[in-house]
Amino acid sequence: MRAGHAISRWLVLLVALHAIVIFAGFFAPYDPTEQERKNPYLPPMRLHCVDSQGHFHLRPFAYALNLREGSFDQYEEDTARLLPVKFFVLGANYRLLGLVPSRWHLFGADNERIYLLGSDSFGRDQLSRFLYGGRISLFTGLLGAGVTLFLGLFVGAVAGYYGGWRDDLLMRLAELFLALPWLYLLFALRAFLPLAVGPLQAFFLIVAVLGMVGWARPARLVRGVVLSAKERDFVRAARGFGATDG
Amino acid sequence: MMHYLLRRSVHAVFLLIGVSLLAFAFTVLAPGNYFDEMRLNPQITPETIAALRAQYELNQPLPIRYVHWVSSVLHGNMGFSFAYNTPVAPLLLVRARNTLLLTVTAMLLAWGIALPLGIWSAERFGRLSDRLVSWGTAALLVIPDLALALGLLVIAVKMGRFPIGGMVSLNFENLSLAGKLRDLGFHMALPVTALVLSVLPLLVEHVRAAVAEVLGAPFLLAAEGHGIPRRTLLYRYALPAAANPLISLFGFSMGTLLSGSLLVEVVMSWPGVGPFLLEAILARDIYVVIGGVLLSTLFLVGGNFLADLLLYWADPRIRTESNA
Amino acid sequence: MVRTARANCSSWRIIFVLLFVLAALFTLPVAASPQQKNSKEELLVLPGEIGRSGGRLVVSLRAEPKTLNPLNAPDISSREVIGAMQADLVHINRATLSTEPALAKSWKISPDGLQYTLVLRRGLKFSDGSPMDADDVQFTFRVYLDEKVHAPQRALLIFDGKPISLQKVDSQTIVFQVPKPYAVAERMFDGCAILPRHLLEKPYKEGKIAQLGALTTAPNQWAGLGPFRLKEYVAGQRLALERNPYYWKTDTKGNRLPYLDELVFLFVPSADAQVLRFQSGETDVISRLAAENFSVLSRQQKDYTMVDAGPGLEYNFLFFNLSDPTEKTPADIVQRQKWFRDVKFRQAVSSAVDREAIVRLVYQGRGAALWGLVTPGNRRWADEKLPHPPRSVERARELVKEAGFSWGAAGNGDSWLQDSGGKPVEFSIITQSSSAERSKMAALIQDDLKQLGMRVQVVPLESRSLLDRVTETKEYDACVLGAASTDADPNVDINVWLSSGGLHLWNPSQTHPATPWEAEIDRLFNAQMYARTFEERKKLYDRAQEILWENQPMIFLASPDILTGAKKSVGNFRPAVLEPYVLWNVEQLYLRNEAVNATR
Repeated sequence: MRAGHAISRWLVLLVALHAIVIFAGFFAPYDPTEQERKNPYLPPMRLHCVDSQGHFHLRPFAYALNLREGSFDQYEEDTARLLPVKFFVLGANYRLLGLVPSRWHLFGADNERIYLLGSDSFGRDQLSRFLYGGRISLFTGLLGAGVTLFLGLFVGAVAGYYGGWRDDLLMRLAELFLALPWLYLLFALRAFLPLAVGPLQAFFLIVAVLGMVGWARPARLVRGVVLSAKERDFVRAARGFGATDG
Repeated sequence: MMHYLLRRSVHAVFLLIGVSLLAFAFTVLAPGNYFDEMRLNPQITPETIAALRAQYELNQPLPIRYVHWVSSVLHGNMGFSFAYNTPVAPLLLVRARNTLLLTVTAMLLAWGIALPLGIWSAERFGRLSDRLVSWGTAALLVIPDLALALGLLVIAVKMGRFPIGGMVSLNFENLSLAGKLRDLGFHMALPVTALVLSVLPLLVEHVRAAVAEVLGAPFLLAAEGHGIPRRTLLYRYALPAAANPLISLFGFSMGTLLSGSLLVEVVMSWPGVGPFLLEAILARDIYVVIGGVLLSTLFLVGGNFLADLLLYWADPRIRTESNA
Repeated sequence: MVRTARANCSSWRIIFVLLFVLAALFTLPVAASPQQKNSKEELLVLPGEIGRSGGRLVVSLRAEPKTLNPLNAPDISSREVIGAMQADLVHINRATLSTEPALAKSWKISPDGLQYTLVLRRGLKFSDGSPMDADDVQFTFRVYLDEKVHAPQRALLIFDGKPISLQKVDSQTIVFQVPKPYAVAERMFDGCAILPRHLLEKPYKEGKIAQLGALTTAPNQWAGLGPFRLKEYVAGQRLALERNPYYWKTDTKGNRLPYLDELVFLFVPSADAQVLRFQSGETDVISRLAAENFSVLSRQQKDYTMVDAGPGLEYNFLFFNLSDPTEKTPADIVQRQKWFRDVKFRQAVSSAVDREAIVRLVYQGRGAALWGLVTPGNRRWADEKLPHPPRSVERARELVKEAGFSWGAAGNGDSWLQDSGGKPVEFSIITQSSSAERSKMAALIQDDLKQLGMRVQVVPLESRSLLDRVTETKEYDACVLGAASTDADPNVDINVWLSSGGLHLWNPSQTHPATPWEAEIDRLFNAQMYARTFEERKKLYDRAQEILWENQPMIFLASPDILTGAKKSVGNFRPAVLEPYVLWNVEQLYLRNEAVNATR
């Protein structure tokens, strides 16, 4: 019961995380590639509700940051310039789910940009980059793990269950895959691909490479388990009742 | 049994040949070669580069190069390094020794911690202490290895207690034996910690899952009913029953002894095969790379072989199958 | 038999000499003058801070050196180590960038500029104690000039296809004959380390000289004329050098240099780890710092001497693929090359690039914007008449309009540049993934060109793959790359300037100059090589720089400062803008009192 509860809680969290990155365009306040060169290396802006005079603001705000003199990456808060957080604002263009053009963003600020996670060396918004980048990482990871697991389960199960020459062949193949200098193959692969690869192609390429490189390890684990499981009573029983290998 | 050993050895030889052939093919497919970087050196003329390429047989067809390389391996040289201008084998062996010192220690430590911790946690499955362990391992798993290694380094700089890299101090030769061991230990502390922390979560989770699964098995319940002490129950009965996936995992641990510590070695400047091979890969010092691949394949084969032997020995179900 | 006897004898001799030198060192302050004491030796007296002898200096190298052999050392680490172990006849002073006497105490040029007469110092000895004379010099140059050895130095010794020749006059005097009067022929001697004939002649005759000098060489099998000699090598970890007791320089007080007893190179394979080890006190000096790390260390000023030596000789640039398409070149690249070949297109890109932002954001202000190949660090040769226009997107827009491009509206309200055929201007810029700086430059350029309506994709590639595309397959659109001159003199960049050169990257190794302006640059550059006076050369070289600017085959971006640091205890620390930035005066570096006694 409790385990089930915990799992569903984690599941909700995972789904929420994926939803946020799927709709990165909406949740990210800015275009992840847009540079604001006067603001490199900003630290994350802190949100306040009480200003320096002690007044309470219902709408949370951040202070604009000023570069400390004689420095390149040290900033201090300018308590005279308040950046109130606005919700559901119009901003940079994006396509929701890659289809619906939209300009709506969850939040933003007037006049100046608000950097909740700071900015990078070109003044690009880290939060936006994080969300957009997360889209690729999460889904390639998910899909890559899926492909890896599927291949690993399949190969491992076949090897473990049938044994004999199939086992030998598949396991030596797994060893071969574990041993090869993949970095070189990737270099070579890169050389054969066109220079500018579209984002979608790149996505599937990463998934394919992850799957190709990764299946050997789970395959060996699965094989070991199958090897032992197939002598268990329930498998024998199933065989006795006429179940076939297929 | 003899027959099995023989068969595995023959397989291993075929695997090594396959790996070396494919590694050769990969290195040829990859763009560029060692002498490319010289093109950026204004002093070196294209003619010199062409002559060097010819001298190192880079113009020869692949089969010929492969045959030459194989004969070099049989002579114990494992080919010639372009960069170092010497045979590969001695270069590689010194560094492999350093890497093994690090990884064997780390592996022993990691398994030494993971087994009791995983069993302890599995025994309390679902309780607070178990969940604490789970969270701990999950947190460790989430931290990228690079951040882990760099974080450790920063802590070490702050503390000023541990050396920041390298394997021994400059005055190592003048130390007494005890002093040498102490010095080596101090240098190993950080990289070993980083390695252990990076593999520990996986090991603990696997041990925990495997043991937790068998703990509910009827034979253990029966054993418990017979009044067998808890400790004996866990280590004598539950652990062997849960050993199957763990043994495969142990095989992997063995297989990655040479290749698994690359990142830690680079960050902590440990003089192992990691930084050496990385540089060779980027510089296209191909015989060094192929030599490294071959050496780590040996470990892989050895690890898997050992795992299979252990499986055979530990799991009676497999034994019956093989004899059948 | 004979060999072992000699080895024994020489090791005894070394011990005796060491004792003698030690004794001499202790009595020196009392002795009247070094000239009197060593009447047979003509030592070079170096001005500078008087240091104290002893101690060990620890330096980190990013990569392990590969060889000790000056005949085949293409990598930086090997060059750095060899630099401390070898010496040349005439040396380029890294601080003043001019030539000065080294093993040769003087040289004379004949009126026709064809003969260089070099006179060696008397009493020179290799680091193993054997004497050095004109025979060693003759042997050395015979090896360098031998085609079968493939020494990189050979290219420097060939003029117009003809090699230099040399003749021994007596044991101290050699006459070098150059086939053609050449502007700065004495600079060719820098980097030609004089080799020990007594050790290398036999292997040379057996054709094995290139294989010598492995790091595992026994210290008594290797010798040089530099301030340090081989002591110990530990694979993967460190290379230790010890002071060469026969070194031929002294300070003004007559103390024989180098001051340091030992120089240790640690191999630390990552830049961050190098900084950490410097911070933890395990290394004494650090060079090639990134701007971020430099500012972090500068905040701890009290512990370190941090020196920004100013812009070095590294130039970073963007270039387009202007090579002749072959049947293998993909059609879309050939198509885009039509844009790249238009000088107005390249000028527009140059005008749209924000160099000031590159300096500020990539180098944190520790660098210089660049409009030509010669960096501000090279004051003598930079063309001050070269225009330095600030960034202007308007000017760029005018230029592309003149070239026949126009703007079309994209779906979302942005406007994109298109050529006269209506094809949108899209291309990719490749760059080295290993260089964070260049990747950043490419990202900035991408954004700059977006404002012009160009759609640019940045493709980071691993270094060899990139070089293969640029020099072999020619499958690329544009590329951001950097190079560093190895000397202030223009001649070292010959392969960049000449259309036949391999580093003429936009269209390398041409058999005939592809364009009139490239032919003109060839002519000017060759003329300056053989011009006799500096003024004449400068005029020709300036003109070449201007033609390069007008045609923009390379769009120059920025040059980083040379950033270095040392512990406060390191004396005579005077980093230069030429390699080796920190160790160029290693014989003068010393550790102040407190550091010598401290045990590590």
